Amino acid sequence: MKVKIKTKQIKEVLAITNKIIQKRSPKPILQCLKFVAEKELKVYATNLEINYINTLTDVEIIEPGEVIIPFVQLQGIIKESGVDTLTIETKKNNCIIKETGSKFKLFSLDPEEYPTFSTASGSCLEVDLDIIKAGINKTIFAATVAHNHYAISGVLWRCVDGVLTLVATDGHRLAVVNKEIGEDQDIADKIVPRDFLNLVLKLDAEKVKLMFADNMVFCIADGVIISSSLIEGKFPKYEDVIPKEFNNVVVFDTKEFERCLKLASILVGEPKKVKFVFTKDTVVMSSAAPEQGESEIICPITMSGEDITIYFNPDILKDGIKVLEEKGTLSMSAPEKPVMFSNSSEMNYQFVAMPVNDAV
Amino acid sequence: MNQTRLEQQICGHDTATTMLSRAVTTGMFPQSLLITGIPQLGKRTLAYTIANVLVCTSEMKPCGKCIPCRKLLSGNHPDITILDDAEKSLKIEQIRELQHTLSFSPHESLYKIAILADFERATDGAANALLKTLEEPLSYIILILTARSSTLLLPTIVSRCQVISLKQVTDQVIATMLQKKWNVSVDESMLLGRLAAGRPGWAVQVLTNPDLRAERQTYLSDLIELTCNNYHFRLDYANKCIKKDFPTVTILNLWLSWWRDVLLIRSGVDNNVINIDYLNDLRRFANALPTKEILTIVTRTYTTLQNLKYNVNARLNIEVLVLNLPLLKS
Repeated sequence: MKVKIKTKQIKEVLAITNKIIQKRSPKPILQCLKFVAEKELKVYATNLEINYINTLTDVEIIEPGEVIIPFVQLQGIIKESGVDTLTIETKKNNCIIKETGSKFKLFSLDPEEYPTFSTASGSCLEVDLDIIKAGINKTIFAATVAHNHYAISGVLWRCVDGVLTLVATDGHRLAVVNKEIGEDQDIADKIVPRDFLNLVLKLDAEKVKLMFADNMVFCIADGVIISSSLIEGKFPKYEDVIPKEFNNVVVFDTKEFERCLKLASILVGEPKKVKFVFTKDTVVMSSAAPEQGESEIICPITMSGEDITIYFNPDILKDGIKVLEEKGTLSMSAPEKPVMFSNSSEMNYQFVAMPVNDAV
Repeated sequence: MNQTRLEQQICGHDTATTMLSRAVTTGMFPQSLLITGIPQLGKRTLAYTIANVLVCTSEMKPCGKCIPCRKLLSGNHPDITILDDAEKSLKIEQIRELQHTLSFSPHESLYKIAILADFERATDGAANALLKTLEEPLSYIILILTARSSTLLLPTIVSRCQVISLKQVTDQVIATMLQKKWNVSVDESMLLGRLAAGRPGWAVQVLTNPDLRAERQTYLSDLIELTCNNYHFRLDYANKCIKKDFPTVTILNLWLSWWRDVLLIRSGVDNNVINIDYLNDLRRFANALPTKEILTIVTRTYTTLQNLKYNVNARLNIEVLVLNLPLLKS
C-alpha cells in the first residue's frame, strides 16, 4: 500500500477516533487504526463496542493495500510534524510514514487480525442531524452511569407513526423527547449506548441515516459510518412514571430559574437537598450546609394552585432545566409525588424528577 | 461433524480432554468451567486450548492457522477476554469491566469467552460480583476459571461451575510429550519426566529456562551441605534466606520433595523417587535417619512454610528449621 494524504484529514479522523481507541487495551490491535486503500482510503477504529469507519476521498492512492498503524504514535507524528501532506506505505510487515525531511518505520500488526465490522443493515431513518443532536442533548444526561443497570445505561429510541421518541432515565429522573420527523419507518424499542450517541454529537453533516438492526445500530453521514452494539435488556415502562394530573402549574423564566438553582446549590449538605417554597408569584429556594452556612434565593414565577413546599436534589434538576426553552413549565401534584418540567410553548419535551424526602 | 485435537494438544489429563472434546463436538459445552489442580499441571494451557477450540473455524480444531486462531495467539481475538496476572489480586472493578464487555454479543465468533486464571486471587467482592454472571450467563458466554483448589474459592462459586480437577501426569506421559514436542532425547526426557513430579509445566519451564535446573541442584546441595555443617554455617544460610527476592518458599517445597523421597526409600519403595539424580545421597539419608525423625523434619518444614505465609518473623522461622536439621557424616 502507498498513499499520499493531507495531515488535516488525518487530524480530523484522530480527533474523533481519540474517543474510541483504548490506549491501554490488553489487545494490542485495539490500540491501532486500520487503513485500507482501494479506490478511496478507509480508516477503521474500534473498541469492540463502537466501530468507526471514515471514507476519505481526497487522497492520492499510489498503490492499494491495507495497514495497521498504532494510534498513539500516529497522533504524535501528526501533532509534531507541521507539514501539509505525508506518505504512508507498507514494506513487509512495517508501516513507513514519510514527510519532508523525516521517515518513521513502525512495526505493524497483521491487518487480517483486525476485528471484522458488520455491514450496515436494518430499518432505516433519514433525519436532519440537528434534530437528532437536539434530541440527544435533551436526554443523554439522564441515562444512568451506574454499572449494574445495563438496560437504562443508554437512551431508548422508538419511532411510531412518524414520531421519534427518545427516553433516558436513571431512576431519579426521566427525560422524554418526542419529535415529528415525517418518516414512515417504524422502529421498535432499541436501547442505544451513551458512548455511541456522544460520537453522533461530534458528527458534522446535514442529514444522517440511522439504521437499526437486531442488535446493532448504525449512523451514516458523509462517508462516516459509526456503529455500535445495542444494549440488551428491557427498558422500564416509562409511560407509567409520567404524572398525568397536577394541582400546581408554575411558569418560569428558564435562565433565571437555572441561575437561582445554581446559587441555591452552593451551600448544600449531604445528602444534597434544596427546599423550594412555591407561592403565587415567587419561589424561595433555601438550603443549608452544616458548619458552612445557609442560603435563601428568591426567584419570580407565576403559579396556579395552592402554595406548596417541596425538596429537590439540585444536581438532578440542573441538566434537565438547562435544555428547556425560554419559558418553562413545572407541574406538581403533591410534595412527595414526581414533578414534570416541560416547555411552555409545546409538549415535545418532558423532564420528570423525583423530589427528595423532607426527613432525609 | 467437527473434530477436536484437544487430546493431542494437552499433555495427559485424558478424562478431562475426552469429556471436553465430546462437549465441543456435541455443542453442549458447559457455560462455566472451573479447572483445579496444583501449579504447572497445565490448567492454563487447557483453558487456552479450550478457548482456541471454541473459536477455531477449521474442521480439525484447533488448527493454529486460521484467522481466529492467529488472533487468539497474538492476543487480539475480540471475543476472548483474559484476566491473568498471577502477581496481583483480582479486583471487583476488573469483574465489573468484564461483565460490561460480556454484556455485548460476540463480535465474530459464536461465543464470548472469559478466562479467569488463578481465581483464588479474587477478592471476596470480586468473587461475589461474578456470581450473577455465573448463575445466569447469557447464551453466548463461556467462563473458564482456574484455581489451585476448589476449597480456596467461595462455595457459591464452585457450585455454579462444572469442576474439572486435574491430577499429576505420569512420568511416561511427560517424557513422551518432551520427546515429541521438544525433541528431547529419551534419557533426558525420562529424567525430566521423573523430576517434574507429575507437572508437565515444570518440565517445559526447565527446557525453556535451563538456569532453573542449575538452581534446583544448588538448593539440594545446600540441604546436603547444611546437614554436614555446624551452627555457624547454618545461621549464615538462614541469614541468606531472609533476603528479599530469595526464593525461600520454592526451596522449602523442593526440600519437602527431598524428605518425601528419603521417607520412601526408608520404607523400601525406591521406584517412585522424584529426585532420582540424587539417589545415592537419598539412600545415605535414609540409612542414617530413623523414620520418626524424618517425619518430624517434614512437619517442621510444613510449619515453616505455613508461618511464612502468615508473615511470622522470617529469620526466627528459618533459623529454627535449619538449626534443627540433623547432623550427618558427609
